[in-house]
Amino acid sequence: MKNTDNRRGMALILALVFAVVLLQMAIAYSSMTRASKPQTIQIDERIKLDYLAHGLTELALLKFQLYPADFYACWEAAKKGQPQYLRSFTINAPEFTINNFSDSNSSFNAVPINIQLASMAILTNDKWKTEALFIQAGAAYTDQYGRNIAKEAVRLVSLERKLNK
Amino acid sequence: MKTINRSTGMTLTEVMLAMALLASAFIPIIGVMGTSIKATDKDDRTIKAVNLCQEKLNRALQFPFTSISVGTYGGATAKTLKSNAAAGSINLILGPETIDGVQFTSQLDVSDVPVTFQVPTYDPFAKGEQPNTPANWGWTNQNINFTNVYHKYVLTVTWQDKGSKANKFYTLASHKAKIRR
Repeated sequence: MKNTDNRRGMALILALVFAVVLLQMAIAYSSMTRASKPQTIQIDERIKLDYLAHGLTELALLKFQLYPADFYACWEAAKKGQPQYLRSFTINAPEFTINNFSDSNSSFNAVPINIQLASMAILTNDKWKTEALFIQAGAAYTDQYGRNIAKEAVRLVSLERKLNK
Repeated sequence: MKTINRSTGMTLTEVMLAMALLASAFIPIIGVMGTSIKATDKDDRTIKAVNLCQEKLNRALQFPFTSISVGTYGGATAKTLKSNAAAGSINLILGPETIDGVQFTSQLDVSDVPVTFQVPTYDPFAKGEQPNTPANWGWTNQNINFTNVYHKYVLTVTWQDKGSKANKFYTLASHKAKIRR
C-alpha cells in the first residue's frame, strides 16, 4: 500500500520536470538568436566598407595618372631615405582621408565611416622586368557595441614607363 | 485476479493537470518559433536587398565614367541606363521590381566630388644637379583643384517587411574616378 501511495502524483512531477526542460530550451534558443543578430549586421557593414575603400583606391590611381613624374620622384626620394615627400603625396595628403562619411551610414545604426589611404608603393619584379603600382586603402567605423569594424581594399595596376618626347 | 486496484495508476485530475502544465510550457516555445520565423523572413529580405544593391552598384561602376552623368536615376520611376562600352553593351535597370513576391525599389544617385590634390612637385634641374640629395630637389607643395573627375555613387534599395508599412533601406556607396583604363 505504501508503494502505490508514493506513485501518486508522479505524472505531475514528470510534467513539471519536462516543462522546466522545455522552458530552458526556449530561453537558450532565444539568447542564441539574439547573439547571431550582431554578426549578421557585421557582414552587411563590411560590404559597405569594402566599396568605400575601393572608391578611395580609384582616387589614388587618378592622382598617379595625373602626376606620375612627381610620384616617381617622391618614391625615389623615399628610397634615398627621405620618405616625407612620398607621405605627403600619399597617406598624408588631405584628399586621402575622408572622415565621417555619412552617405553610406549604416542601415542599422547611424555611425559614420572613416576612409583612409594606407599605402601607395611600386612593386618590381627583377626577373620579368615588370613594375606594378600597389594601392591599399581602408575603411572603418565603431559599431554600437564599441567594436572597431574595418575592411581593407587592395589594387594592383601594372605599369609601363614611357618617355614623352 | 480481475479486480482493479484503484489506488495505482493516474487519476483524471492528475492527467489533466499534467497536460495543462505541458501546454503552458509549449506556449513560449511556440512564441519563440514564431519570432524566429519572422526574423528569418526579415533576414531573407535584407539579404535579397543587399545582393540587389551590390549587383546594381557593381554594374553601375562598370560603366565608363562619362556614361553616367551627375543625377538621380530610378526610385519610384523605372529607368534603364545603357552603355555602349568597347567591351559590349551594359544595361542597368533601376526602379521598382518584384523578387520572390517582394517589391524592392532601387535608386542611384551620382554626384560630383570636387577634389584638391596636394602634390609635392620637384625641380627636375635641381634633381639633375644633386640626384643623391632629395632634400635639395626644390620641393614645393601644390594644391590643384579638379571638378568632374571623381563621382560619388550612392545606391539605395528600399523594401517593406511582411506586415509592416515602414520602409526599410540598404545603402551602398562608392566612388569612381576618370581614369584611363
